[in-house]
Amino acid sequence: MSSILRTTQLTKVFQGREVVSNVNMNIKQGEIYGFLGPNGAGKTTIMKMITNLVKPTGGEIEIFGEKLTPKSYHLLGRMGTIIEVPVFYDRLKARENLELHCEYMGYYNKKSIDDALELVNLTNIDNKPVKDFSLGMKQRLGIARAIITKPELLILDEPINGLDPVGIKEIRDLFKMLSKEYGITLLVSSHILGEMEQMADTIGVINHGRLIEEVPMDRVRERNTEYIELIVSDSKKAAFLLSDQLNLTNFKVIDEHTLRVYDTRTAQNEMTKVLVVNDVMIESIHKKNSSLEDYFLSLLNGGELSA
Amino acid sequence: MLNLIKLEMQKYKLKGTILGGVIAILIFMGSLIAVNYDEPLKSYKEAYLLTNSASFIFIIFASVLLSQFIINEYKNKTVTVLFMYPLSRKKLLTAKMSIVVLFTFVFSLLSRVVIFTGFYIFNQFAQIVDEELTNSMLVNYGAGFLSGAVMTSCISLVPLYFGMRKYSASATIVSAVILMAVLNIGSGTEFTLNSIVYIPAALAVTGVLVALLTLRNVEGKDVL
Repeated sequence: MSSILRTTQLTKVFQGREVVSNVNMNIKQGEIYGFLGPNGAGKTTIMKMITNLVKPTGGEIEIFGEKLTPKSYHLLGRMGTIIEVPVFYDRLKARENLELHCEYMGYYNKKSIDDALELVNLTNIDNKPVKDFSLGMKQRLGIARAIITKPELLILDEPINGLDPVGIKEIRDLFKMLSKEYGITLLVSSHILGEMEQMADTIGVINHGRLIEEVPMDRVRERNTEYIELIVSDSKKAAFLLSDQLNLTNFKVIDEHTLRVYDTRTAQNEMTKVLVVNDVMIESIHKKNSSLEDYFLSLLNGGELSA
Repeated sequence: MLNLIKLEMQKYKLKGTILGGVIAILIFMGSLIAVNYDEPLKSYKEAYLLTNSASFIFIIFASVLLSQFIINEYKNKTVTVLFMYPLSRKKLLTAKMSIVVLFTFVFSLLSRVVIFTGFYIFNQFAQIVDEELTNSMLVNYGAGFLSGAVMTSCISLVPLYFGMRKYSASATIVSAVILMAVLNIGSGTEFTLNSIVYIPAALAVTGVLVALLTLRNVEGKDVL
C-alpha cells in the first residue's frame, strides 16, 4: 500500500520548548491510524501541522505525495478534520453550519448533508442552535462535518470524547465502515487504549513529543498473545521442571512465586501434572490476556519512573 | 471574493448593527437640532464641523464589527475551522475587513449627509443660521464629507492592531473609543484635532498599514 501521509523529522518549538521532536510517521492509504499518547504528548500539535494551522519549525510533511507548504490550500480540500474540540458558529443551527462548510469547501451536493447527519445518527436537531448541543452531539456533528465532503483523509482529534458507550460503538463502526467501504484513510487520536485496540490498523505511540513506536496492530496482537500465569510455591524449581520435562523455553519467572508461560499450546493439565508430581504446590493457574494497555504502558514507562 | 463576503454575512447578522447605526444617526441629528435651543449655531460651517465629529462614532461601530468578524473568530477558535478550508487566509481576512470598511464608509458618509441635511431642513423653518447655503459651500462640504468618510473607514482599522495582539474584543473596542476621543479633543470649539488635517490623515494611513500588516502576518502565523 502506498503512503498517503509521511512526516520526516517533523519538529515544532514553542518559545524555546520542543513540543514535537523529529517525528517520522507514515500513514498508509486506506488504513485507520491510531495516534496514541497521554494528554500533552504533542498529538494535537502534529495534527495542526498536518492541517497547516501550525507551521513546523523543522522537518517536512508530505500529503497525497505532495510536500505541504503554507500555501498548499488545495490539499486542505481533500481532508476532513476535527482538531481539539469540534467548534461551530454556535448561534447558527446545525444544518446552517454544515451548509456553510459545504460552501467553503466548494461542495455543492446538498443531499450529502442529510446523508452525513444520518450516518452519525443526528436527527431532529433542525431547530436548535448548536450552542444548545451537548458535547456528544457536537462531537457527532463535528464528525458529520468532517465526512460530508467524502474526503480522502480524515484527521480526527479525540473524536469519541464525550460520547456514551453506545455512541462510541456507533462511531467506531462508522469509522470502520468509512475505511472499508469508502477507502478513506483515518488518523484518529485518543488516549483511550481499548478504543484504539478495537479500531486501528496501525498504532503510533507518542509521548513527550516523540513518536516512540509505530507498529501495525497485527504485530501488537502477535507480540501480546495470551499467556498462562502460574502461582506456585517455588517458581525456580517449577521453571526447571518445565524446561527439563516439557521442553518449554518460552516462559518467564516474574518473582519467587509467579511464572508466565507464553507457549499457550502446552496443555495446562500437562504442566500441573509435572509440577504436582515433583512436589511443587500450585496455588493458581490461569490463562491471561495481555492487552494493548500493558504494551502501551510498558512503552510509555520505558526508561522512566512511573508515578 | 463576493462569495466570501456573502458567506461571512451568513455567519454574522449585520441587522442589529445597521439598526444601531440608524439610531445613532437619528440621535446625532436630533442633538444637532436640539443644541440650537441652548446655544444657536452661528454658521453652516459650524454645523459641518459638528457633523464631522459626530460621525467618528462609526469608528466604534467598526470596532464592534472587527471584534465580531475577526477577533471573536480567533477567540472562539472557529478560525481553526475557517483556516482549514482550501482558501487562502489572506482572502478570508480581506473579505472580513472589506465588510467592516464598507460598513464604516457607507454609514459615516450617510450620517454626515443625513445629519447635515436634517439640520438644513430644520433651519429652513427655524431660521437659526442666517446664511445662504451657496453652491460652492455645498461642493466644499460634500468633498469634505466624502474625504472624511474615506478617512474614517481607514482609521476604523487601527483598533485591529490592538485587538489582534491578544485576540481581545475589549482591547479593540477600548482603543476605538480612545481614537474617537482623541479625534474629538477640542470639540465644540473651532479647533478639534480632526481639523488639523494631518492627524486624521496620518491615522488613516496607519489604519491601512495595520490592515496590510495583519494580512501579511496571517499566512505564517500559528493558530493555537
